[in-house]
Amino acid sequence: MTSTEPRPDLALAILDAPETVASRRGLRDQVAMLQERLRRTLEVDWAPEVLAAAAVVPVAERPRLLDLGELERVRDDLVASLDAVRVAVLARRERHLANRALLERMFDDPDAHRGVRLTTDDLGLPGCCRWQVSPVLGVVGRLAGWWRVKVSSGCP
Amino acid sequence: MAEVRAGEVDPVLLAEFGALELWTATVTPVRAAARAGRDRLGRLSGSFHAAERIRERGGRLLDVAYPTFERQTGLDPTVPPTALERDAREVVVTGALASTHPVDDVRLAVLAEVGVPLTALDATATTGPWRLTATHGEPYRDGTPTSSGDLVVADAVGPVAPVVGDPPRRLAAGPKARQVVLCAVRVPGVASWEVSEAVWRAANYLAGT
Repeated sequence: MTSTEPRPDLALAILDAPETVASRRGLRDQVAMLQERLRRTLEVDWAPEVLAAAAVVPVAERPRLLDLGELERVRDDLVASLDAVRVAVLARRERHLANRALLERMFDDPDAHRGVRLTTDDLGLPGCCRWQVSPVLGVVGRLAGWWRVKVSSGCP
Repeated sequence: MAEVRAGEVDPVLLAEFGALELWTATVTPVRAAARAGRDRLGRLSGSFHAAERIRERGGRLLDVAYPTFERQTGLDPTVPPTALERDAREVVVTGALASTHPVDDVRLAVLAEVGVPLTALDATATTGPWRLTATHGEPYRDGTPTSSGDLVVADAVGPVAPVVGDPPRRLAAGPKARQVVLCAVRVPGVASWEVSEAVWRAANYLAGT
């Protein structure tokens, strides 16, 4: 039997050619490297929207031996996923910066930011604190125009 | 004490993936395993920093080598392939590893402690020796179909579990299983001893030794 003839004991005929075994292993190494990059990116900023950006349509429903074309698709999907995650992380950081600037403006001028509420998640901070512009003394403050930033006590 | 055995691995898979191994142990759970499992998860819930672990591991509880292997076999590792791990992610919100039944409690404890995913099969539905192989399209022992090239754990009769993910329900070890076959697959990037130790640990937890 020559090396190019399909072996009946193999699950997929395309797995028989020795040169494609090396190609597939090379692609699997690339996939492993990209997956590690993706993991490191997610480690820095792990949030539901970032995780959602990392999701791809799987090539297979069940784990299986992938042929060369499928492995190329996995690699390309992973590159696209990595790009999408980086975009999501940047967008999230920009939103945090904008919210931190807004928090400063809330403290400077509460009257101009009536009812605005920010959470630690909006600012990219750990914990569950809340900042809300609310009237002093309830209705009295609302009628008199006395507003202040109230900081919640955190997690229940 | 349960004996941990190395299973055979199809040479085609070794040529494709490199360091793949299968470790199995057959164990008879003792009655006390249920309470011990609940207590163990309770203790782990108090000491296990699940949110940190999940963040470090890209949203997963298990060793980072496993999501890489899932990617290489066509799956999307952002979605955990087993119901056990999907449910376990609730620990980030609730702070507790929830107890279900002795076998899954042990699988969850080992997942949290070692980061190795275990498959538990009902020993009445499968008999060893077990091996890692790719199917030619033959169905699982309960009739669930497979496609050519699916990576499975198989016994002498046929496939019994996918290499990643939950086995068909009729083959899986449920709460009433009298004897359980524990399997774990070593993938490239994980030390062999870690995987065999995970199986040994789970077997001892279930056997109460």
